[in-house]
Amino acid sequence: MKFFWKLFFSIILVTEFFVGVSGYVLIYSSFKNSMEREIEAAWQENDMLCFSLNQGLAWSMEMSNISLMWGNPGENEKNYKEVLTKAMTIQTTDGVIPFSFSSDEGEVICGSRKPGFDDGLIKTLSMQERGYEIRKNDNRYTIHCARPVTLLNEHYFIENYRDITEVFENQASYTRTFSMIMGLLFLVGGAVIFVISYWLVRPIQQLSQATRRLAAGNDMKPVMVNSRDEIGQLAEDFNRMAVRLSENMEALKDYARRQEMFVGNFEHELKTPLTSIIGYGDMLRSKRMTEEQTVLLADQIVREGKRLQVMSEKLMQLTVLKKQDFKMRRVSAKQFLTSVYDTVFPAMQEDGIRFIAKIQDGKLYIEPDLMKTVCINLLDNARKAIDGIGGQVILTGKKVKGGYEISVSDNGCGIPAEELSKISEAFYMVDKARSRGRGGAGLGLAVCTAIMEVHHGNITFESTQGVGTCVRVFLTEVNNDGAV
Amino acid sequence: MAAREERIVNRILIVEDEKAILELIRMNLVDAGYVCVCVQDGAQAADILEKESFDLILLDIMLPKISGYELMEYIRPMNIPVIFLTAKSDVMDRVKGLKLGAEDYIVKPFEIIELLARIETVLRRYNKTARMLSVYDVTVDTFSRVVKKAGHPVSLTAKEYDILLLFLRNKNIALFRDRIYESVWGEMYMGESRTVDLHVQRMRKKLGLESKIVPVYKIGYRLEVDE
Repeated sequence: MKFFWKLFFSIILVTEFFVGVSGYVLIYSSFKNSMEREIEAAWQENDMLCFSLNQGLAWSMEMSNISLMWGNPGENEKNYKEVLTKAMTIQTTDGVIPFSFSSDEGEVICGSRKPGFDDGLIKTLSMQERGYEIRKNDNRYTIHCARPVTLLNEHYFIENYRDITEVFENQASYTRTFSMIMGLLFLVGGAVIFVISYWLVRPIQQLSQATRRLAAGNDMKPVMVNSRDEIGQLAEDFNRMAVRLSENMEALKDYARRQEMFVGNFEHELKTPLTSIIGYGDMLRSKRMTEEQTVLLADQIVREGKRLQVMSEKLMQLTVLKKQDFKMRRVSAKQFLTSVYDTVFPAMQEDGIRFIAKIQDGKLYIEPDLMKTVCINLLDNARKAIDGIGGQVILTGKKVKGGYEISVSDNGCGIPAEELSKISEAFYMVDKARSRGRGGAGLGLAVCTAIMEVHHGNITFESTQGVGTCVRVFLTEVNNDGAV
Repeated sequence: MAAREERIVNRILIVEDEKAILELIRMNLVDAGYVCVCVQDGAQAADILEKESFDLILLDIMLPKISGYELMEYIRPMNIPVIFLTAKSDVMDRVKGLKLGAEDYIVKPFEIIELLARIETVLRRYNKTARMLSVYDVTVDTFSRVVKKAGHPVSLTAKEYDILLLFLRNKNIALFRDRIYESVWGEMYMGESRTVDLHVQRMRKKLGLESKIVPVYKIGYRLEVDE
């Protein structure tokens, strides 16, 4: 069952239950009160009858000698019955009080029993107790009271009747009215409760819809819930979560896109040399060649194979860099950069490039092998950027505010401004033909960037096309305890 | 007419930025009797397409400056068949290439013989191949499928005819048994069967080419032609 209906029905049930119970209690107690009043009134009437009888008898006995005739009914029977009847006839505003006067055997001496009544009540009573019964006859309720009296050592019962139909009618009419009220309450209250339930549940529904939208991966619109209660709070939290989630999703998508690009580039970079290797190999095995041709083709195969080797090494570095913890050491900047200079110098000399080093001493907290890879990669790039004569590469190391800066600048071909942001992406090459010709795999700067991440340093590029490029590597100064 | 060979030379433009692959394709296409023009980027390709006409273009997709896809848009109105060369094996890329109007799609790394077969197929579709193929005194009319030796018709079975065509289109190239089987029978070669040898031997006997279609040690046969 939906929460809405649960809420709706539970409110209706609780309301109806309490209203019903209190209504019933109210009607019942009012009925009980009326009933008590009527019984009281009936007894009062009975008392009046009794009083009147005593008085009437006392008076009659003075007038004549009834007592003498009491024992033997006969000629005077009619007479004393008349006397009794006369004594017990009491005129009230509602007419004569109905009564009957009967012997202890239940036989009616004077007055008359109301239709539908018999001596059943009298039979159950002893001479010391009075009693009443209520009977329903012809849709009318009548209370029948009986009390014992003793006249001239004989036992009799004075009975009277009082119509109390009104009490029952009132109760029935109350019950009817109450039922109508209950019905009305059900309808009107139901409608009101329906609206209230809807009002309460609506924000939850909105939230649930929003959740479904989010789950389906659709664009997230914030949920508008204008309440300051718990649900409003929940909606606010939900919105915050959704924003966070969509941010994360964007980041993930971006990551996936980059990953896809990486795989695509990798496939291309892998398959290009493979195509050559397989193609030239195929030619060697299926065609008849001259010696010279054979050597040329074999040379191509070796060269492409080496390219694959370089690429796999760089990729290996990249993978390892992302996974491993490196042990940092404190080294002297002068010593470190001098060793880099010595390593690269022969290659520079071979290309006829002027290679200058300006090194200021300082303390570096680095993994020397990795950092050396960065420096060699950068110097290698600088070397490759230079065409012809007059090339110059400067390796600078100097203390700067907050750390140490190593920079490599060249006067080579430079990098177009729009390409600067992409150069550290894996497999990105500004000039493919040229880079491949010189054995590049397009991974050098990606490796450098990854190494700088390990060192919590950063790397910046500055270049003007046709003038040259300057790459700056910034290493943060470290405290004595080695923390960055 | 049957005896006279009509000499159709197909001109092929190769657009590939990787020098080694470009050279590889060029060498093989020249050996197969095509005339090749090579360019290394899209801009050059567009320039040369303005001036010269070609029967087929081999187009790399990842090109500097103008990509293969962009160049394809430029080529389409010229009605020149294009075969894409690419390292991307992604189905989406393949569909994109074919939707742009390429005739075929070859994924690197490819075997040369496969490339030649595809070029042949596309040229045939465009009716740009030579009707008559010949070697020594054997001529083949590829339209009527009539094979003649020294002017006299020779009757070949369908498989023998297909094998002959394969050799004629791959002169001086060693054809491996699996390659022959796959291209003529159209099924995977399982390696144990002598079917290929039987057919090749019967075919070359019928045409008197025993000394020209020579076995290559352990792998297959080669039709040797002096150039």
